[in-house]
Amino acid sequence: MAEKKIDFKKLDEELINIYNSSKKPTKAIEKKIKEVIEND
Amino acid sequence: MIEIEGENIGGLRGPFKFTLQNGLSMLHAPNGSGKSSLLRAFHLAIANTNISQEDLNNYLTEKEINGFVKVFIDENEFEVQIQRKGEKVIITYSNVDDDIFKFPSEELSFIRAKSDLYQGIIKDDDTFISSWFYKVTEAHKYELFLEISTNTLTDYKTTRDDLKKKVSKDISRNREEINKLQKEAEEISGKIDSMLDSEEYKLSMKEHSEKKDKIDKLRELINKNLTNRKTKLSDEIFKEEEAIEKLKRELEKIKKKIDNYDANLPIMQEKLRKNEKKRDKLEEDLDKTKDQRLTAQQNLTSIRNELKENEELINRETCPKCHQKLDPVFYKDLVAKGRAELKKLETQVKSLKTKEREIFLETNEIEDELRELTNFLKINRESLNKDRIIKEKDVKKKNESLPDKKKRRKQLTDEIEVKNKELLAIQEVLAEEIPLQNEIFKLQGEFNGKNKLINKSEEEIEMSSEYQLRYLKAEGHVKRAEAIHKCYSERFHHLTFETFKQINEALMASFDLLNLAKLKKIVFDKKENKLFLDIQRANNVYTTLEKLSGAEKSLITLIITWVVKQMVIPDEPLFIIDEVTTEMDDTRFQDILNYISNKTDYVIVARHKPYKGKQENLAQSHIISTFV
Repeated sequence: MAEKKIDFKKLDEELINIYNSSKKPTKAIEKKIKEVIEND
Repeated sequence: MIEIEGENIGGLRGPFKFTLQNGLSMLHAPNGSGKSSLLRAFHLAIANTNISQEDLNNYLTEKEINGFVKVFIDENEFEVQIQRKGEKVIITYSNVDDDIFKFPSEELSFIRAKSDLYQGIIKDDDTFISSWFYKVTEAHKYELFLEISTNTLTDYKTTRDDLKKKVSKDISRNREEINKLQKEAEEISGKIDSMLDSEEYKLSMKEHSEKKDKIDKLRELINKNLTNRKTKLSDEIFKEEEAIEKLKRELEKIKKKIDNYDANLPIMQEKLRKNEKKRDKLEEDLDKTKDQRLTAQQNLTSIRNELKENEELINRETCPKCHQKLDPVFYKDLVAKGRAELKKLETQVKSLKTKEREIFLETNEIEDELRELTNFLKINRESLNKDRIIKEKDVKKKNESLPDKKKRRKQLTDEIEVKNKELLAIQEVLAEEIPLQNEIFKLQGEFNGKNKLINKSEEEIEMSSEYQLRYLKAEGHVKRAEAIHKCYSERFHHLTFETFKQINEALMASFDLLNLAKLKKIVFDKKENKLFLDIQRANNVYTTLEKLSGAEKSLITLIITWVVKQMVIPDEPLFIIDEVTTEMDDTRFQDILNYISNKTDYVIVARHKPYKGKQENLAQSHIISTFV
């Protein structure tokens, strides 16, 4: 199966949204990044 | 071309409309004429960013309820409605395309005197400058993304490296092991085959098949016939011995009881005799008491009659029988004495009755006891004797059948021993006659052992394949983690180090161009999370921001803002400067604006101080001097 490409623009927007909406965003950002990495 | 039209924005009360050409547009008019309001109108229409309520109040003309702004830049249209509701001012955007002109911060495209950067430079305050930088670039977000993506990458690399070690180590070791074992197993198998195929083995097997049959028959005889019979017989003997033991124990108990009975018999007989004596005495007492009671009862009757007669005579003057005169006092005394006597006798009779009853009960008790004692002794003795005789007979009977069974068992044991000896002798002969057989068995065992080890190693390899798959997956994760890490590393690098490099180059170029203070460099101190400027005059003397001239401060603000805008939002075509250039003389003003407008589509400058230079000195520019 072909590897799924990372949509950096989407990832960027999602991380900024998490950053803006969370008081302690580190865990949520890490979770999102791992989700994108493992969703291959 | 930019077209802007609107109504009631800041100092521009009522409707207004302007057209600005590509390049530099300079709005020149006195203070309070509405230059800043026009710039605000631009900003409001295109900024699409959060504007504070305080600022919004300044955007709508005082005492007006509604206003609007429409801006056409090239083929893009921006429109915003502005309304006063109570004390609040509300804005509503329309025709905003999300993909264009999205400002991370208004301060990147709209320089004003109150900009944090300008204020920081005027006051020589690193905190102001740093906070401006982080706000407009959002570098802190990317710094965090970079940090997290770095840690994540490390985690994935660690997982991958661990799996790699496991995969390479296990597979290579196990494959070598399997190859070695397979070779050894093949050798053993070859040996077995050659032995089985050998003439020696075939011949010996044929010759000895008769002996093998005999061995089988002997085994069957020993195992199925003799041993089974012996086991059965042993079970019977064991059970019978157990039963005899049980009977003996019971007999022993009965004998003990009989001995006990016999030992206690004289005591019990003595007790019986004493009780009989006691009973006889009680019966005697009872008769005596009964006699006393009867006498007392007779006296009682006699006194009662006498009393009755005397009571009658008390009230008479003469005797009814002899007619003599009677003394009432005498009879009264007599009656009183008679009553006392009567009472005494009644008490005596009552007491004798009670005594009689007690003796009677005691006699009954003694008699019951005597009866029980006599019966108990009589019954136990007979029953015990009966039991003892039965048990003794049982034991005798069982003991008679046992020796015969034991004898038969002994015979069977002897027979088994003989047959076993016979079997062993034949087996020994067979083993001597077929030496290859034992060797084949031994080799077969070795072969099986090798195969077990091969299977184990293959299982481990299978597990290694699992690790291999996991390793490949982990490798993929590392690649993706590296890509994300690279993205944020480049982004952060771009927003910080690359931006500082650009700022430094632009500042040095512009300072050279304008022949102002020589700026050595701008430094980003990551540890302190601060930006600070390191400034050097032409004579190599270091100075502070505070000591710079107003023009130099304006220049630094302008250049830094413009460079950062170019780095963060390079496609944004608009750059608005509100009054910050006032301190510059016309030559420097035109040089720096030419420098900026050469690289930006639309530069709009508001300036109350008149520009006295020639317009042709300002490249691609037009000056609007009387727009109000």
